[in-house]
Amino acid sequence: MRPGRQPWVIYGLMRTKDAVTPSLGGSDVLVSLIIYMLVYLVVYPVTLYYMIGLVRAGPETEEEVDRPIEGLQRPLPARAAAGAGVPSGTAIAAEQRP
Amino acid sequence: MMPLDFVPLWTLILGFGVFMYVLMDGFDLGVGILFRRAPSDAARDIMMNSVAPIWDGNETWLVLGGVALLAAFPLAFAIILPAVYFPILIMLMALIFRGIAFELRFKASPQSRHRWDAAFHYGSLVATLAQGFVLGAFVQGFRVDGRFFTGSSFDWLTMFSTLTAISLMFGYALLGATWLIMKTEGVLQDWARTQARWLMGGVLVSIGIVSLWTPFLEPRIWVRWFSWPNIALLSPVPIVTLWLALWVWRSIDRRAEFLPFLGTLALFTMGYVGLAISLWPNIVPHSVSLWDAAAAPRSQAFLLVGTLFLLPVIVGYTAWSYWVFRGKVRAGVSYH
Repeated sequence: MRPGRQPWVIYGLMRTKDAVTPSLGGSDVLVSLIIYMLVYLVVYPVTLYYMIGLVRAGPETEEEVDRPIEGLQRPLPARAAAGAGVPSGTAIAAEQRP
Repeated sequence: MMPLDFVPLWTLILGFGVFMYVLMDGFDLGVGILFRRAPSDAARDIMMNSVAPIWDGNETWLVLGGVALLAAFPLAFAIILPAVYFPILIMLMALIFRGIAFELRFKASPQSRHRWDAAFHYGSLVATLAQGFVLGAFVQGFRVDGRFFTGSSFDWLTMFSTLTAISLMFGYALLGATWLIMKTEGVLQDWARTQARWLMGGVLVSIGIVSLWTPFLEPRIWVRWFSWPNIALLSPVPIVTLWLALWVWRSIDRRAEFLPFLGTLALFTMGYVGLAISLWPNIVPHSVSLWDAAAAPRSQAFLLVGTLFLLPVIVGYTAWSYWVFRGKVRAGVSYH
C-alpha cells in the first residue's frame, strides 16, 4: 500500500510533525474541529431543506421572475432576443413547417 | 546589481487590501449589526437589499489580505495566525451564518424568517467583535521567541482587546448607519440618522479611550507620538480626526445624504493612519519588522507579477458593481 504523502507536509523537505504550530494544544484543535462539525451539521441539512423546497415548487413562470435591478424594470424584449440567437435558416425552416 | 527591494510595494498592497476590507465589509457588517433594531420588517428587506449585491465582493479583500500576508510575509503569518486562532475561527463561522442568511432569508417562510434575521444580525455582530479582538491582540503585541509565537491560544482576550472589539462594533455600526442614510429614504433614512448620532458618540468615547491607552502599552509607541519633534509633526492626526467627527455630526444635522458616509470613511482612514504611525515598521507589533518577515525577494517578485494584474481587475469590477447598483434602494426592487 502506498503511504500517500505522509510523513511529509512538504514532500522530501519537511516532516508533518515539524510543521505543527507549537502554541496550539491538542484540546485547541479538538475544540475547533467540533465547532467546524457543528456548523456543518447545521448548515448542510438546512440548506438541503430549502433546496428540496425549491425543487418541489418547480421553475418560476416568466411573470414571476424578478427584474433584478431598477434599470431592468422595463420588460425585456425576450422573444426578439431569443429569436436573434437562433441561426436564421433554422428559424425559417421552423416557420415553414405546417 | 543590487536586488530590488519589494517590501515597500508589498506593504502597500497588504495595507491597501486590509484597509479596503475594513471600509467595505465594515459598512455591510454594520448594516447587519443594526438589523434587529430596524423599525419594521419592510425596513429590514431594504437594509438587506442595500448590501446584497456587493457584500461578497467586499469580502474578496479579506482573502487578498490573508493570502498577501501568507505569501509575502510568511513569518508574520506564522506568528500572528496561531495567536489569534480562535477569534479568526469564530469570525469565519459567523461569516458563514451571515452569508447564508442573505440567500435563505428571502426563501424562508414568513414564520421562520426571524431565524435568518437572527443569523444575519448575530453573524455580523460576532464577526465584528472577533475582528476587534484580533485588532486589539495585534496592537498589544505577541509573545515571540525567534520565529514562533510562544503565548497561549487565549492571549488575545484582554481588557484592551475587549475595548477595541467594542470600538470596532461602534465604528462598523456607524459606517452601516451612514451607508443607510445614503442608500435609503423616508422613515428608514430618518431612523438611520438617529442611529448614526448616538453611534458617533459611542465611537468618539471608545476610540478616545483606545487612543489614550495605546501609548501606555509599549514604550516605543509613546516615544513615537510624544517625543519632540514628533508631537508637533503628528498633532494634525488627532486634530483632523476630531474635526472630521464634528463635520460628520453636522452633515447628519443638515440632512446631507452622501457626506456622513464619506466623512465616516475618512474617519476610519485617520484611525488606520494613526495605527500605522504607532506600529511602523513592524508587521508583528513590537517584535518583527516588515523586512524581517518578508519572503525572499525572488518569491515576492514572482507573486507581484500576478498581483499587479489582479489588483486593477478587482478594483475595476468593484467600482463597476457599485456604479451599477448606485442610487436609492426601494421596496420591491430586489437583487434576489
